[in-house]
Amino acid sequence: MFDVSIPRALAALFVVVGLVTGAEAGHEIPYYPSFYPQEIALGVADAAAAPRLLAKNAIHAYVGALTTPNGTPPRAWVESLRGFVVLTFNPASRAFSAARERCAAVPRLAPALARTKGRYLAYPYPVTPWHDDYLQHADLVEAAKARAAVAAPGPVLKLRVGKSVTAPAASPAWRAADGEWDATLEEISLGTLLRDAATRFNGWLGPPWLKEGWFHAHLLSARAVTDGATRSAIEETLARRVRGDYANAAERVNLERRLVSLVTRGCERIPIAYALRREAVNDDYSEGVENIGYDAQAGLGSGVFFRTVKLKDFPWNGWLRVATATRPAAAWNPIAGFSDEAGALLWSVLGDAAVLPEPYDSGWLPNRARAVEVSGPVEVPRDALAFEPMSGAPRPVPPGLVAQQRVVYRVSLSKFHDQTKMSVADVIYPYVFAYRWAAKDRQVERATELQRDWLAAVRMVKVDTEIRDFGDLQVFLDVPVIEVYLRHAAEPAEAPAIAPPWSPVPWQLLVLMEEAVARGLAAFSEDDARRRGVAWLDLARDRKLVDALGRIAESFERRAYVPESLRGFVTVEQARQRWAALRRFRREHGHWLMTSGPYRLQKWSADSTVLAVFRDLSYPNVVGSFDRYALPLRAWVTGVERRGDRLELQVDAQTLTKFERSYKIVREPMRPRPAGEKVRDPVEARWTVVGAGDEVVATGRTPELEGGRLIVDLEGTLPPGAYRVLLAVAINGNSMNPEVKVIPYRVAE
Amino acid sequence: MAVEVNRRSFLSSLGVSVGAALATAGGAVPVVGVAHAQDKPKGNIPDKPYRIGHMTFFTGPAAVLGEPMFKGQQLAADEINAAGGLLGKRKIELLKADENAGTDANVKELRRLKLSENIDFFCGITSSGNTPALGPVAEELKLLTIFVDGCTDFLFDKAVPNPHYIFRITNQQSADGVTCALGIAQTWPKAKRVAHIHPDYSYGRNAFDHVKIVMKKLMPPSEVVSEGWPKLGTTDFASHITKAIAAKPDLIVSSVWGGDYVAMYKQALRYGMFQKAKFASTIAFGVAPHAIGKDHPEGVLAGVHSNYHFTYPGGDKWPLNKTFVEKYHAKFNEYPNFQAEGGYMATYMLKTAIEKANKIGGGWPDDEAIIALLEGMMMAGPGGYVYIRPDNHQGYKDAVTGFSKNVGDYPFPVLDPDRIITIPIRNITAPPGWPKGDPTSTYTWIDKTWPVVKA
Repeated sequence: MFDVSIPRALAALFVVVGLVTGAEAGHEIPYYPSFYPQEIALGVADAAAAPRLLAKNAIHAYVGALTTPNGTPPRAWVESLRGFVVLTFNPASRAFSAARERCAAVPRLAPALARTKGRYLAYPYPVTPWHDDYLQHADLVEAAKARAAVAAPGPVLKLRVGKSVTAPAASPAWRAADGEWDATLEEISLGTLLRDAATRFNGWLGPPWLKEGWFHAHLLSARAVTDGATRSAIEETLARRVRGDYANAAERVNLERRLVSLVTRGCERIPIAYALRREAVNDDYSEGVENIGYDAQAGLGSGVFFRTVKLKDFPWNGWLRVATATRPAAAWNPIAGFSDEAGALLWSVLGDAAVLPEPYDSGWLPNRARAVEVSGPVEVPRDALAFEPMSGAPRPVPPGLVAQQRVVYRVSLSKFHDQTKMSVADVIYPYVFAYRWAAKDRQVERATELQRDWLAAVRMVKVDTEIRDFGDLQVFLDVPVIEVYLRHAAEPAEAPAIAPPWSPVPWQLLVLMEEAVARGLAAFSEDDARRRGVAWLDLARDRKLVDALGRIAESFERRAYVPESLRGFVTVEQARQRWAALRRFRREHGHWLMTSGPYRLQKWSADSTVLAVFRDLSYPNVVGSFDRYALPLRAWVTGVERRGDRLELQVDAQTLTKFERSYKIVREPMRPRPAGEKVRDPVEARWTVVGAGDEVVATGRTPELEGGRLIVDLEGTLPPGAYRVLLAVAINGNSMNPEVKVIPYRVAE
Repeated sequence: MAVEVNRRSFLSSLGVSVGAALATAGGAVPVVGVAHAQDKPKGNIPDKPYRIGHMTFFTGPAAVLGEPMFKGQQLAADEINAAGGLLGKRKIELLKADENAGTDANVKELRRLKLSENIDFFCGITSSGNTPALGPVAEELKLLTIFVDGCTDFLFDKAVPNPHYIFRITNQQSADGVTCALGIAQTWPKAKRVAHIHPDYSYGRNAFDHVKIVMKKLMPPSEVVSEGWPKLGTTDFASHITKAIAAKPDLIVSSVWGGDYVAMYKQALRYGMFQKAKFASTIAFGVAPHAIGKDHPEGVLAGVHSNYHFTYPGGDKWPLNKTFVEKYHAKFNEYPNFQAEGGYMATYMLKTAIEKANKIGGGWPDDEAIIALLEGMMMAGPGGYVYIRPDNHQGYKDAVTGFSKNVGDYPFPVLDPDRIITIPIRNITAPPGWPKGDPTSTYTWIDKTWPVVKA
């Protein structure tokens, strides 16, 4: 039971107001909450049919790789990392039982891969240019490429070629396995690689290093490592990296490089190429789309696409039509549903996560929870709440508890689709839920493992009122300030994604789902549903369950039910109103999939889903909020001049000029930023210094200085010796496919 | 006893005309452009850059209106700089600020621009929510300012009733509703049953009030048979469209704008709304021209915020517009909207005032001299003559509206060049000295002074 130590002041946190008041003004209202389109229709189309649909303007984009006649590329497309081509050796193969033989076999396959007509880019290292940490591995990539370029004679490889990979032409180096086999060649898509490693739980996405190359390397190869000592070293290195057990950024990078080295040096499972995904968009002058954002690794199948895409025929609004290759087969529930690609895409619009992956980088963008301070270690205040491991019940923390890190969030509340206002209870309850259900559902256990391992306590500080004053329109937003205390210290860029206080669905919907699962009507996850022989919980498409939930909700409404863990957060009257509104929503819309996101599930069939905009003025992200992620620009280091201990960089940068419904991107030497001009994409130098022993001795980022100059200042950073400086530049955080410049650098005695 | 006035003769007395062309600018009126270079400046002119702070929407939905304003000023500044700068010496330096930051932040930014960046002149502003907040601050900072838009009557009616440092050059908001209503009276005088669809906030209410008061005077038999007030952010206009159609109107009037207007007209097409009634808008074509689709119905009264459309004056009839449109298109690969014309015009009015002041006093003129010459200035620009009234610092130019038409020259509809309606602005705004009124001075002036006409 929740005791009285919860401050009464919390009561003040429950109110969320989205007031709009009038004043004298004109027509120019810059406040249209939501993404651009007023309606998003997600359909299904075969890859071969997609070009025709695009040509007929029947769809605006196709999420997934196209099949085009004669390999003709679509007129407009985006490119992202699709996956790796991996060679996995058979532990039983006698010819390749030694690491030396295995590693030597890789170069012999390269000529065969080169004949796959550009489907794959031969690349013998798991950190690719499509990973943000590529710069920190660029010297190792070059070394691996050099090794792969020298093919030594060796035994012929008996190769099994997986269905997922386009078979390379047979060569003297290998022949198709007939019975016995030495190795398997297969393409591992990022989706497959991350299926069990990515967190998609209600409004939480993760893990924080989701897009890092070293993490992908570990997922790809660690399990194949056979040597016990190496396996131990891998796990120890990984643990140090993810728990922040390092002194500085250089040490962190060395851990990541060591991890990659450990998982690949035995060549049990080794990437030999990577593949890009090319996805089409319709750029017709009138009926197409523009302002396209996408993710370096997820492509159009990412939240940023829908948050940026704009129909050319509308300054805002419009009916967006997007097709995917597959039907959404996974159940629609926010806990362990939406687990297939089509479902994840749907949830990325409907669910509105706390933070979103940086599309062209590896950090996290604030979406509904903004981390405004990351600090620590600190003693956890006594009025913070910890959650009991089994029940999830919130309890005051013991005295003297020290957290390694404190993340202070400002949480943007808004209205749910049933017009009720969000409260602190909604963003706290997911913590309760995670602890309570981890022991009962393996999928929940896995998805919340990191949060539960890291979370020490949560403290509600206050509720601020933010006023967005647009003259005619004044929007009052209540913004709770919540401190999250962590047991370990993460990178400041990663910490916001660990356990943000957020839920896109109301507490009573979580409670309703819990009750359905507790009564044996359904299970959250597919595995648990199969194990228990019940339905996979679907809040919209399972009519029988939808009706059954109605009866449960009715009984909860009669009792004004408040779960034990929320007593003190929610009054009886508030609970009654919430339950009544939820039931009313279901009556009006025929489903329970209600969120506080800017789109509401309107209708669905086997082949299509329609989401209608929900323009609630208390929704914090307005049309255009993510525009800076549309049309990523690139920059290049064109020259480096050493001046004492400083490197002064000459840079070419792309500039974007928009006109009418089109645009032009031009590469030109970076000019000084005009004085006072605030609207310009920032350019940043990223650098890593590698010592003679291939160890990283310094790494950092340097923002643009006054006058458009980029200077890497190494004064006092390096002891005497010979180094290489790896340099790249990013514009507006775009680290995709950078050109890395390597500069020899010597510090005299 | 009231004198009976005939509608046609009253419209004629207001100067409402269709397809009119402007007379070529006379020699006494300054014109935009640097071709007519001034005499050699008198006295010593410093070569220090002249810093202009320009604030408009560069992000968010209003950027479709606001960003062209900056481009217009940039075009003018580039032209002036290419000829040596203001008075041949002072190059214009533009400092951008994003109006999308919100009113409070904009006020702070204005202070920063003046106190930290030492701007000489402030320009821009799209939102009428911002001019009433920024106007008093500019006065307090003694910062010479020309607001390009932010057209609320409230600015000079109430917020800054006695301006000294601030000016504004686009027509004020009340002109929108009045122009639209006069266009209706001119074109569809027999319309009796009128349905309205307006956004449910001040602009919609302002448009409704001013359309209604003019129709009360000029189309007295007309009646409002339906009112639709879509909330801000509405995307489904079906209920408002069907409600309007169900009232069997002769005419539907709307001030829905921008992306909302596009959504509304596309939905209205599905309901055949444009076949069932005449349609008039205050601002349908007020956004950047390319924002309207080719499927837009033809023949509707498509307002341009009563200010400017790049196709008028067309052809060679008014070289200032032809040149401006050509130069703007060459530089930005798009056509200017009324904000672009406003930004361009504001810069040249400033330049002209500076040159005149130099002629009088020599050297670089102080702001008081520039203000004195801006007051009462009449200047020919791309959209016609702009006159700055000395008493309230409000710029006036003849109001423009017209009818939508697809022509082969553009990938979007434009105003039908043969049916442009122009109205002398002095005839549709409250005269100097008229008491401040509610909801606007223009409203009370029309209510109290315009006759009710005989059909």
